[in-house]
Amino acid sequence: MDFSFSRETEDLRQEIRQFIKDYPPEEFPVQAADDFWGNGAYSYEYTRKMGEAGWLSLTWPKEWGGRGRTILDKMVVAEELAYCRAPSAFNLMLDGMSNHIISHGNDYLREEILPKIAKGSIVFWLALSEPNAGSDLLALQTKAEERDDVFIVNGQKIWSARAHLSDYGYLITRTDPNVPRHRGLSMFIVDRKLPGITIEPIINLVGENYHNHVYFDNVEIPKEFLLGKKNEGFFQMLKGLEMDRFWARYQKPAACKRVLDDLIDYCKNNSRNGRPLYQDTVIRQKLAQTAIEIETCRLAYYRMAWMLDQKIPIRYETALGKTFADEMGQRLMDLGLEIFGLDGQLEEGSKSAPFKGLIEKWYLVCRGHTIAGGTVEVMKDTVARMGLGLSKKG
Amino acid sequence: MDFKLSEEQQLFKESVNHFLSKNYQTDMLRKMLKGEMEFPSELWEKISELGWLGVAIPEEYGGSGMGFQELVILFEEIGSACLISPILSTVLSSLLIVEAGKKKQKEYFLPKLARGEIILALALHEPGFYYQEGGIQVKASKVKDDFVLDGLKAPVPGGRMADYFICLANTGKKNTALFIVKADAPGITLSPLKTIADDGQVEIRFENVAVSPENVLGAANRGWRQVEKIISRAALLKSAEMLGGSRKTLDMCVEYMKVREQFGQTLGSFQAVQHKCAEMLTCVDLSRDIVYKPAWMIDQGMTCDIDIAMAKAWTSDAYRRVVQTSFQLFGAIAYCEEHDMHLYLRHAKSSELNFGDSTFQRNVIADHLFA
Repeated sequence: MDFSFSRETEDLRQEIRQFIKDYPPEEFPVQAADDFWGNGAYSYEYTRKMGEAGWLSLTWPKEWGGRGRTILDKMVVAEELAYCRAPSAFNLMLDGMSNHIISHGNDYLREEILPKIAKGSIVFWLALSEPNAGSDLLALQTKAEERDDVFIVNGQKIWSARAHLSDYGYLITRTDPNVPRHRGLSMFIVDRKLPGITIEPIINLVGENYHNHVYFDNVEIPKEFLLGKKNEGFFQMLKGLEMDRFWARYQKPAACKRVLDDLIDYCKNNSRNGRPLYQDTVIRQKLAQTAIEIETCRLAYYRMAWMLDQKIPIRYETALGKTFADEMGQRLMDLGLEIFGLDGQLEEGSKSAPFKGLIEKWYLVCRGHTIAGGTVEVMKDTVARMGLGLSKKG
Repeated sequence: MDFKLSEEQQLFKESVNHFLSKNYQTDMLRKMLKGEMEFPSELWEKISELGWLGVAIPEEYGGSGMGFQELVILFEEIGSACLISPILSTVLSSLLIVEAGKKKQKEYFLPKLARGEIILALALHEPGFYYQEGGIQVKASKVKDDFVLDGLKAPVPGGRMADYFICLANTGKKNTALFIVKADAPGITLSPLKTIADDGQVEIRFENVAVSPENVLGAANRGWRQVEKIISRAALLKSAEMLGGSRKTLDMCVEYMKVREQFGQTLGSFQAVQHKCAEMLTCVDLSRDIVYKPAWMIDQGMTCDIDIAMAKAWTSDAYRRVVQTSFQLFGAIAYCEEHDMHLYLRHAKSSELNFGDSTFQRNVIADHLFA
C-alpha cells in the first residue's frame, strides 16, 4: 500500500493553490444560490477563469483538449477549491456530463459542446427528476417522439438545478412507451433557448432560487442532439451514475475540514459562562469525532478515486461514501450551531452572526444533501444489495 | 497512492488465514472461557515455527524484520479468527525491547521471543491507571545496587502464560522505569483474573521484589517515554484485530440473513435488516484504510500518533456497533453459549477498553486540535 501522493499530484496541488491565490474566490460575483458548500454554487466569472487555466477539462483525454490527468489528481484539486470555498462544486461535477459526451456523443456534439465546457463558457443543468419520478427515476413520463429530423419533447422536469442560468440541459426522456420501463429511455442535450421550454423557479427553504421546474411543450430537439443511442439511455446513465455520485461528494471531506478548522478557531477565541470553549470536554470530544470522520471519509474517497483510475468496477462504494459524507456534514452543522449557542440562531445580515450566518444557513441547506442525488434510504438499498448480495425478494 | 496489498502481503494474509482456519476453532476458546483447557502448547509451537512472533524483530536478533503493515495483516487475521492468545503481549514486549533495550537485553530476549521459547507480558495497568503517566503507583526503591518493587499491577493481559513481566514502576520524583522481572521471582504473587474475553489476565502483587540493575529495561527514569510509544503501537494492533473481528462478524451475520426465513421470506430481504447491514458495512469498510494508513506511516518512519488515535477510536466504535447489531439480527440463537456471537461481543469490548477507548483517543486528538 502507499498513502502518499506522487510528485506530479503534489505539483498539481501547488498549481491550484497558486491559482486560488491569483484569483481569490471571495472576489468573484456569484450567480447561483448556495446549494453546496462554497461561497456560492456557481459563478460565471470564476468558471471562465477555471476554464482558461485548464481546470475544467483536467481529466479528459488529450485528444479532446484535456490534460489527461487522473481522477485522484482532480480530487486533490477539488479539495483545495472546496477548502477555500470556491464557487466551483458544479464545475467539477461537469466531468460526469463530459464523460457522457466523450463516450456516447456523436462528432457534432463532441466538437460543438466539449470545447465550450472546457472554456467554462456554458452552463449545464441536469433534467432528470420529475414530479412522480424522484428516487424511482424509471417512473419518468417525459416523452420524446421521433419525427423527421427532430425529436418532439413533451413533459415536465423538476429539481432542475441552475436551469435558469444554463445554456444546455442533460435530459432523459421516454422514447418507447411499449417496452419494460428501463428499456425505452433516451438521453439528449437540449438547448435551453428552444421554443416551448418554460422555466419556473422553485424557491428553497432559505428563500433562494437554485432549482427549477422545467416544462417542455412540443419542443423540437434536432436529431444530432440525441446523446448516444436511442432507447439505450438508461444503460448509458447507469454507467455514469457511480461516477456522478463520486463527483457529487468527493469534495465534501475538504469542505467539512474547513468548517471544522473554523469551529476550532471559534472555540479558541470564545467563552461560555466564563470558561473558554476549547476547555469544554463535551465539545472537545465532538470536534475530535468530527476530525476522525473527516479522515475516514477522505480515505474512502481517495480509495474510490484510485479504483476509478485503476478501472476497478465500483459496485456500492460511491453509494456508501455519499451517505456517510452527507450525514457527516449534517452532524457537523448541528455541532456548529451547538457551539455557537444562542448565536447559532443568527442569520446572515444579523449583527454578530458567527461566520456571517454561513453555518446556520448550511444547517438548513444540508438537509437536502441526504435527499438529492439518491436519498440515504435508496443508497442503503444499493449498499445492501450490491455490497452484500442481499436481495429484494427471497 | 495504492490501496492494495503487495503480492507478498496478500500471500502472507492468506497463509495466516489458512493456518488459523485449520488449526484454531472457536470451540477451543469456548473451552478456555469455561476453564476446561489452557491455551494449547502445540498451537503455540506451530505459531512460533511460522515466525509470527518474530515479524517485528530484526533479522539480526532472529526475527524476520518485516514491516508494521505485516503486523497489522497478522492481527487483522487474528481478530477475524477471534484467536485469544499471548501473541499480542509477546509482540509488544519484543517491540519494547527493540525500542528501549540495551544490546545485551536484546541479544538475550529477542531470539527467544522470536522462537516462542519465552513469553513476556507488559505489566502496566494498576488501579487508577489509564494510559497516562500520572497513574503509576507501584514503587521501585533503590536498595544498594538493586531496585525493590512493591505494589499491585492489574489487570495484566497475557500474564497467565508469561515467563517474565516488563513492569512499569515509579522510581520517585515523578520518574518511572521499566523492569524485567521473572514471573516466579521471590515476592511475586499471581492471581488469575476472569475477564470478559478470557485473555489470560492476572493480578500481580509485588512484595519486596529485588531487581538487579541489568534488568532495568533501557535507560532508567525514561520508562514512560519508552512505553508510551509501545502503547500507541498496541492501540494500532488492537485496531487491526477489531478491523478483522468486525469484518468477520458482519460476514457471519449476512450469511445467516440470507438463509434464515421468517414470515415466509429470508431475513435479508427485509429492508429494515438490509439497512442495518449497509450501516455495518460502512463501519467495516471505513475501518480498513484508517488502520492501514498509520501502519504504512510507521514503515515510512513518519510520526503518526494522532493517526493511530483516530484508528483506535474509529475501530472501537465500529466493532462495537457491528457486533451489537449483528447480535440483534441473529436473534435468540446468538444468546446461546454454543454460538460464536458472544465470543466476538466479548472480544469487541475487551479490545475497545484496552490501550485507550474511543473517548480516551478523542481526548488525545482534541489536545492535538487545540495544540
